[in-house]
Amino acid sequence: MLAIILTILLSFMSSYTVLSRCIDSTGTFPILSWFIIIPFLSSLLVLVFEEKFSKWITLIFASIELSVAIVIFQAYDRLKGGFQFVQDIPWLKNFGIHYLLGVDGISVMMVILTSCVYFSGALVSWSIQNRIKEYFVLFSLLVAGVAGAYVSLDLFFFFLFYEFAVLPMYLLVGIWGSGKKEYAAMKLTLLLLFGSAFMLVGFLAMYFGSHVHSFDIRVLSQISQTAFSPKFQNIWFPILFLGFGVISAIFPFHTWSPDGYGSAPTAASMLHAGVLKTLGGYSILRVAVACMPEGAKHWLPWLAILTVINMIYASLAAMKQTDLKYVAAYSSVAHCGYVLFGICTLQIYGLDGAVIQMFSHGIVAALTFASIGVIYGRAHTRELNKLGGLAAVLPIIGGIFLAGSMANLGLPGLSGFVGEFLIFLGAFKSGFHGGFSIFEILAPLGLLAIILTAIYVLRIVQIVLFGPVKDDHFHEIKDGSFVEILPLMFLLIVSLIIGVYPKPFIDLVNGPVSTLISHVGGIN
Amino acid sequence: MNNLESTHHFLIANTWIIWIVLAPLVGALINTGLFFSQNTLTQSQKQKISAIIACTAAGMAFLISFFLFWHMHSQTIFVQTLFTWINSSVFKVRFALNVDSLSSIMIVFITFVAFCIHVYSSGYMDHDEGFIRYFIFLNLFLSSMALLILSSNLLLMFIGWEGVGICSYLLISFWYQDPKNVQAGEKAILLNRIGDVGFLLGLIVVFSTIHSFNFIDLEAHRHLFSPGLLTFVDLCFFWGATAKSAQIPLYVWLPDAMAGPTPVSALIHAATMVTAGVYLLVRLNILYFLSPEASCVIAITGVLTAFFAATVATVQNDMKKILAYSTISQLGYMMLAVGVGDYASGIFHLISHGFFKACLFLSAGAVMHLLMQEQDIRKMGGLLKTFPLTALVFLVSGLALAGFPPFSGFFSKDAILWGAFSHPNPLIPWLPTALYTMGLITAFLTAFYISRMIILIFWGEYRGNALNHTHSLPWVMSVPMVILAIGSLIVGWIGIPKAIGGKDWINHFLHSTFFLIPRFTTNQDHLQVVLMLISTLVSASGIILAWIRYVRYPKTRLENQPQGFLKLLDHKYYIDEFYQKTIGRCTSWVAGWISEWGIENQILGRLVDNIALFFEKLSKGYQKIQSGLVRNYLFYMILGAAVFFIVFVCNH
Repeated sequence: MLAIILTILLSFMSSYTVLSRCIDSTGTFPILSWFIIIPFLSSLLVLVFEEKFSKWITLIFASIELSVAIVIFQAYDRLKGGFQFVQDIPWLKNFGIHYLLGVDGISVMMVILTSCVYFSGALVSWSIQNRIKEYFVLFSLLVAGVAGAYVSLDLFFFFLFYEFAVLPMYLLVGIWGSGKKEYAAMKLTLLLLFGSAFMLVGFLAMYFGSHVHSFDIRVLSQISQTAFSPKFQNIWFPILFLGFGVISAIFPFHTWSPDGYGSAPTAASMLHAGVLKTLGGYSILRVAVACMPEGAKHWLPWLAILTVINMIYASLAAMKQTDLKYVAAYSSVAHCGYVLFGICTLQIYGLDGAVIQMFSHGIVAALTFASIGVIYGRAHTRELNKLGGLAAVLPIIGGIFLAGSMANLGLPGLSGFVGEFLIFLGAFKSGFHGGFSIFEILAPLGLLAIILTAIYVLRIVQIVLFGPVKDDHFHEIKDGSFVEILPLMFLLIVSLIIGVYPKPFIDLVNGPVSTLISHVGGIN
Repeated sequence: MNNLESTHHFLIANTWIIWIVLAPLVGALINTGLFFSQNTLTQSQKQKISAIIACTAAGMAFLISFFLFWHMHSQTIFVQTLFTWINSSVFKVRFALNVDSLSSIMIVFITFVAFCIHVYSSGYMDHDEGFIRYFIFLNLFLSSMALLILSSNLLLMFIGWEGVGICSYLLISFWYQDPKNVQAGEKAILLNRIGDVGFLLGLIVVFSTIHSFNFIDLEAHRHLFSPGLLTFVDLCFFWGATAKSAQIPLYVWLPDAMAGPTPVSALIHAATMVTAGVYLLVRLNILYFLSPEASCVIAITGVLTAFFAATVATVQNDMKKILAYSTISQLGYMMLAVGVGDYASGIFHLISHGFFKACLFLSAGAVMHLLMQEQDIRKMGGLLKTFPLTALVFLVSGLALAGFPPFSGFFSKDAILWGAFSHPNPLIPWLPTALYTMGLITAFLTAFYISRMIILIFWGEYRGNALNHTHSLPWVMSVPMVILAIGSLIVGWIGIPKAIGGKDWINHFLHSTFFLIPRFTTNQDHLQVVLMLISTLVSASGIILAWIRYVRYPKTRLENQPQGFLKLLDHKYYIDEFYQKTIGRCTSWVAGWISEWGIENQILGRLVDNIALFFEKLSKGYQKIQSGLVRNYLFYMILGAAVFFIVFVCNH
């Protein structure tokens, strides 16, 4: 216990001190490259050293990654706005492919999210028994891929990093998973690749559709009004949207999610639900909407119907699941529906809310999966009809699970509420004050999902925590150990911070969002 | 946007207000630490410490509230702005607290009752293993409730609103090992969630219209609402209030909420949380004043709720169920007051009801404590001699509920009835008379059911088998009961109407909050006195009827099954069953249809699997082509060349 605290503190503090010095002295310090390289390095070192060091190395690098994210958060100049820490190295000059990194307020949020989930995921994986070395190699590789995708401004590298993240996921589910893991891994990977086929085609269309032949997102969005004709945008926007939408489990392409999460090992579900899934919503904003504003305005009101189906359908489906992890998976699908719904409003509160909700969903989903992991580790079952009365034997873990469920339900004071409220504010504003008139119907329908969420969340709380202790061997269960509680508490506190004091985060998001809105011509 | 009619008020910055919210929160945090600490203290020592911490926290909140209340003059508002909570373009919400005359009287009342009940609980919950957990939740509740009352804007109020909801859920299902309690808690939070949607909708509409959530801006920019929109907003917030304050159609959770410990029922489900809906509407008084349509709906809903709940209460046999239905009925009265535009009387009744209903619950709790948790009044009787103090307290608060002069309920209930009778209705001219009549009938029923309950508990002979003479009430329980009983007697005197020579202090005091609403005056003092006499008679006749019917009631008759109309009442008009069979079943069916035998598996799942299967079969077909035999490959090559040749020739 002491060793873990010391490791975390030492690596965090030392790298934090060094990095904050570096970033002060020169404006050109490639901190974003470091953000990608650190998890890479971690997996490399795990590969080189003996197996008993694997988790310690990962923990050290995860703590360093956290400090990098915090340094980026602090050093990002909110007044200046725009893309910062830009690093541009020509890679294939003839094809206009650059190694181009940069972050704006939205990506900074995602950078923090990635590092938070990486850090807690490393701790959650402490109890891995089987092929430890390979596990941690893949785990860090996955993070490196996601991190790269969030900070890339070049579509080529974006795609590259994204694919980089999907393949380790396949192995993580297939090898360390449970249940029908091979089927789930296959389904997950194939559906995600199906989505990325759409993405790739869309990217190439934009590349060849404009005269500049560039993959630079900034350039593409700048020239979008002149280079891409409305007809071009109307054809390609929905293709890109659906391609990204598959990552965010949009209806009807969400079926990979329940099976995938049901089988994935805890940390893999955390990473997937927490950061990879959010990538879908993020890239819809960053790529699809920014580069094809006309297409967005034409299609978003119709695509919003799918997102409302997502919210309601997944909530209803979650009500009848018999496996705890499936409930969490459907809940994650429903919450991604909120994110996409917020984006579809094309209204400033809606988009602010969507980004906050992405972050919140990442944290809360990770928290939920992590606590389910601990409960599964104790009770050796996830079947709802075999669980019951765990509050009596697991007071701490049970309390955290309850708090996580409340965050899921959107209780004010925890992170879920801020995003949801802004999203609905945006939706009503969009519907009744000069946006898309279809939201006059969709926004009230979406409110229904709030009630349904309460039903399924309370159902699992009731079944898992309350009632008489179901199984006699539950009486021998001991409450969570320090390594198990630490990541859960960490995620809960992050959720609490956003819920109690969301202002710094909304300030961060608001700048790029209002730029985007005025670029696209949405409503303020 | 933040300009206000500031000439009317003196805003005084005060840094103490937040401590009313923080003191209980800190108490809860310390107790959480204590709960998880693993030191050498024994369980009983820990319990003692946690009780002292919790009671001190509540007491401090009360002292600060009292201090502010004491320095409250007619036009002061104490304000404290802490930080900007959310800031997204024009969407700006500050974390700020206000104490004006309305919130000061509310907070002083709430913290006082809460303090009494904290002290009482330390005796009542003794020997319970969840003792510390109980006090954590209770302190958390008080903190959220204080936030709800003191917040200066609607969004912050919503946080408190949700906070009390969650604490109520946790406390209803406090004894979570029994699935029945957990279900009751779930029902409460679910119905409240339905109400929250209304609140949220109201928030969104308010913000889209005036770009602010502040109550002050709301008053200043009220003209921005078109009449139709105003009615809509009003009804949205009323929708929220029907859940929290247990009105038709969302009241069904409150009777079940009695599954929680009795002090919780007293504090949360009688005196404070359930009145939050009334407080919300009174807070937004100007919006309701400007919409007669919405006010009509509220008045009618209120009086119907009052009447129906009172009829149900007349035949119930569970002590706490009777009190729960009585609470619903009394909340209906408060809604009636809001609906007719007599906001001060609504708050007056809220406070006096808070005292006497809390007191009734605490004495019911005392009876249960002494009778091994027996709740069925058919199994009691003749307890007057055994528990004289409890009986006295019960009697005082019961008379207050029955509206018998000079107890508090008489003045507050009469203020509402008089308000309902005297305020003319612009839409339906005959409505005031109808409301008054219904209110009077309800008053009769109220006097009847509470007398029935008291008579069955304390008169006649003992019919149960749980009497345990060794028990006695510890002082921590009896003292709060006595204090609240004194309150039930005298609190009504703050609102003695002018017609009988009183000062009507509460109306004056609250006037600065309702300054936008023209002061209502009549010169029908004689009529008012006559109506007061009538309600005294009605109350007395209710008591007498109950006396005649129940004081010499033989043991056997009490066990008869109710027939006919009484059976309908006994089953609470089958409303629960109705909801269960319609909405409950429908939702469950749709959910089942989706996840088990519907779209998810049968259509989408199969579709994905079949696509995979299709490619698998396709590749199996290809496999056959890849036989590895050179002659086959040669054959395909020649075949291909031939096809190619034919196509080429045909095209030319």
